Amino acid sequence: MSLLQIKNLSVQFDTPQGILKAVDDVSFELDKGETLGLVGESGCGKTVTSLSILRLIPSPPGRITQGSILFDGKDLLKLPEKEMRKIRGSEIAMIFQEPMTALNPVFTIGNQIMETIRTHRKVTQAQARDQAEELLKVVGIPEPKRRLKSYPHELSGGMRQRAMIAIALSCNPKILIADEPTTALDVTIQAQILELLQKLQEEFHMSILLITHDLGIVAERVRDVAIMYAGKIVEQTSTKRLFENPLHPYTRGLLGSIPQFDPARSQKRLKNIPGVVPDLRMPPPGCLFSDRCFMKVSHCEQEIPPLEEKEAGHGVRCFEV
Amino acid sequence: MTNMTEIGGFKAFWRRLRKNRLAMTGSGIVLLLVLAALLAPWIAPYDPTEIDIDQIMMPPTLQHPLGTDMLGRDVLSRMIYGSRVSLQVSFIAVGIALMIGVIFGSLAGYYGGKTDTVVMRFVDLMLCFPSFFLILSVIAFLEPSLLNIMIVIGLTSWMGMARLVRAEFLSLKEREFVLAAKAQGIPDRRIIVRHLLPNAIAPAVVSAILGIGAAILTESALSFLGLGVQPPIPSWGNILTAGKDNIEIAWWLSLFPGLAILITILGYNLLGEGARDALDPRLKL
Amino acid sequence: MATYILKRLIGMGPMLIGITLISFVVIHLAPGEPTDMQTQLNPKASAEAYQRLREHYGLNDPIHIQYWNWLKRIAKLDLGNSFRQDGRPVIDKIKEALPITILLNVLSLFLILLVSIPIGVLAATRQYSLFDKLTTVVVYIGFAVPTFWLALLMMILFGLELGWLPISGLHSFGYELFSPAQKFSDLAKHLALPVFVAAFGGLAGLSRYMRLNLLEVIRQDYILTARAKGLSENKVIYKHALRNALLPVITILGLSIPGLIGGGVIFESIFSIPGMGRLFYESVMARDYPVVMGILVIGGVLTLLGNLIADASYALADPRIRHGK
Repeated sequence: MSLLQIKNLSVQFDTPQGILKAVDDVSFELDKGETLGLVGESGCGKTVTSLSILRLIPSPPGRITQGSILFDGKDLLKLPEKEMRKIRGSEIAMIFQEPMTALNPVFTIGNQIMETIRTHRKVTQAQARDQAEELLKVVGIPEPKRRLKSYPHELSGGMRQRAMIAIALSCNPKILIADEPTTALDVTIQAQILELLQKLQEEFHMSILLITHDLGIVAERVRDVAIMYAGKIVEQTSTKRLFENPLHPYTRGLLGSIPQFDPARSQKRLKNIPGVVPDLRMPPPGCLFSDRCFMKVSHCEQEIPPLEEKEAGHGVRCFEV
Repeated sequence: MTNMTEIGGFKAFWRRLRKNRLAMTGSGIVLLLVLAALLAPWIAPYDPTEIDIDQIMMPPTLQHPLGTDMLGRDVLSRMIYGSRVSLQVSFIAVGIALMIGVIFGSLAGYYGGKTDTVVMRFVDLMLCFPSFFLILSVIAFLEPSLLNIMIVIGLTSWMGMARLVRAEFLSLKEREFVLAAKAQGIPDRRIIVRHLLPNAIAPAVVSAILGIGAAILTESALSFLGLGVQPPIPSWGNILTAGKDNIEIAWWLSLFPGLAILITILGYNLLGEGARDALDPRLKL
Repeated sequence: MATYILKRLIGMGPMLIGITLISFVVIHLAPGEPTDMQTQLNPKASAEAYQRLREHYGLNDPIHIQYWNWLKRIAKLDLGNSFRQDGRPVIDKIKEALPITILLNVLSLFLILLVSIPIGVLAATRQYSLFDKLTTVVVYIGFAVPTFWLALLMMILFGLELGWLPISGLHSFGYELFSPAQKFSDLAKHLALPVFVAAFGGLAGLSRYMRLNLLEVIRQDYILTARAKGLSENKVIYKHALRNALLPVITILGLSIPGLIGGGVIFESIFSIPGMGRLFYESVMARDYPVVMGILVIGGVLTLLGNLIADASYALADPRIRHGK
């Protein structure tokens, strides 16, 4: 049974130049204890999707226009704000791309961890401190007792991301949303953090929604994957199948541009698909990828292809597959 | 950075400014003021210095819409003529400040190193003094004339512009077009004036527009303290002084000139801030 | 932290010299001589008396010697004697006036912070609301209001029309005979208008600054983190955002010191408050050179000190700087 089930989610932003459909009819499921990779270029709507789950889309200008987000059977989009707050940080936690800016510079690490604990659990200051220290140990920060009193700027990028993970884990969440958790880090640190996440996933029995632009990261660690392009999911299947038999031309472009054994450089190579993402405030009528597609037929520019199962458990949004 | 090439040139700037209703209101106010100053002899109903013993301290009436002062002079006419003083002083003072600011700012930004240190230290130093103190001491010891006021206000208000120009220069001088010009052996002076300045001056000009409001305020404060334009030449500040001296009996002498100052400064501020937003659309919140 | 302050103090040295130099130059650039006032106004002053005066003030020395002598004297806090009838030491006059100006400024700063921070926060958290639009309008007007005009209007309204508040001086007649409670309320009444007028421009400025600053802070990632942790909106704003938004205010306050002291000239004169501003104005009008130079120097030094205190408090409040140096 899936722990998180997103159905037909659409999110719009009002901009001075018109309405921007950042997320359009996105559906996926995340099973208990599993990891789902949500992959796409920056601006494709993957971060907006993840923020929608926590209902943290800035509004205005953002608006969830349709869909449901079922967590443990409850529709998060229908919860009162107060109930939603109990879920944030406690049942569903999130870590961000930039550990530099995601931690508040004027409070100590300890303060920021304890704050989360004490928001959701009835514990004393001392108990919270003990728990925070334990968490720092768990995420592999040396000298945890001393580090509780450190400010974010006193830690390296990798250590900050570990502290960020400690905050996210502090209430033993069922789901961890990791939004590009390693993008801002050095290559060597990236691997460490990903390993840490994998280890913690087993220890804490968490589900992880791993958001990344880097298919290389997904390949080794993730069971299922969804590829997003311009606000829509274009291909959705198991990771194994995706790498063996990629169907959507966009995915094939992405995979074709992955240099072997060097995930770090794939970031630059992603852009090797010719052309640019269309302006989502004035989307062309047909398939949004048609402009860059090597398989394009005239039909593609008139109608939006539906997301269809081309084989069992392998959805693709393309006419020509 | 806000140099002209990067914001899409003057045309794009103008298009954004045109769309800003507040800025357009501001420029309307400014335009009205300029017209009043230029056309003063034709639109003022009375001679601003004409004394009328029969009409002393008249509250606003149809005959004198803004009342008369202690010598029976028409306040409306005095205010229309007073706008000439405000305009003249503020434009020339800010012009002087802009000139000094641009020269110091571009020298500091272009040459860097010791020149930069010396200039910026001097800027810091000038900012240490309450500028009104400096202005007051110089004006008092010189003769309080229109010319002196303009010069002194100019000499004490260039520091912000120098900083802005310097900052632009610092970022621009590493660009390829500057390096290319240097490699061709074009003399520094020409690089500064022809290549850098046109790109760097916009923020300083915006700050100058805002500075005009401040200069008008300073001038009227000086006149108010009796150190500005000397009677019988009318200025908004010295009408206000008359208002203060007759505060118990003639409220109109206090109310109207102050209102004129307020609206004028408001106009320049709206225009200036609109220009700043149009210059750097990203800053707008 | 201690080394940081020490470094700053050493850095102040050249600035101090600069302040004295500018003060000296400004006064000596002006045509006429300090003795003019005493000799010209007195037709009986003989040429001999004139020479004696010049000798007395060292005006026959070359200008750099004059500066050096003056510098040596101010180093000993000897700012000379006033040229006016009383001939009292300048430093005594400043000592009387300075506490009043400081009291006024501290009170108005307090008022500014007390009012504009909540206004800025409310406007920012309710961006584009009626309250936000209304404060924006008031702020624009606040920027454009001439202080002296506002002072006049306040005097007309509260002093003359309503008769609620006194409009001049610091004390009522017979103040010495009042009980402590009466003294306090008398002083408070006298200070109400000047403090409000002094604070007005700052109120507009800081409200606007607070609003912009908070809007900027709210867009930061750590605010998203705070929300993702499940904190209440109040905690997000008043703990996480406000703390960061308040930091630069410290610097702003430091930078506003010269403006506050300078602004005193006008409203202290209008309200007849015997502070530094009025002393300066009177001295300027009477060409009382020693007092003018003394106040210029003291004003500059106060600004330097104010900036130092502001920077030090900033360093204390911001862990990035506190631990960095």
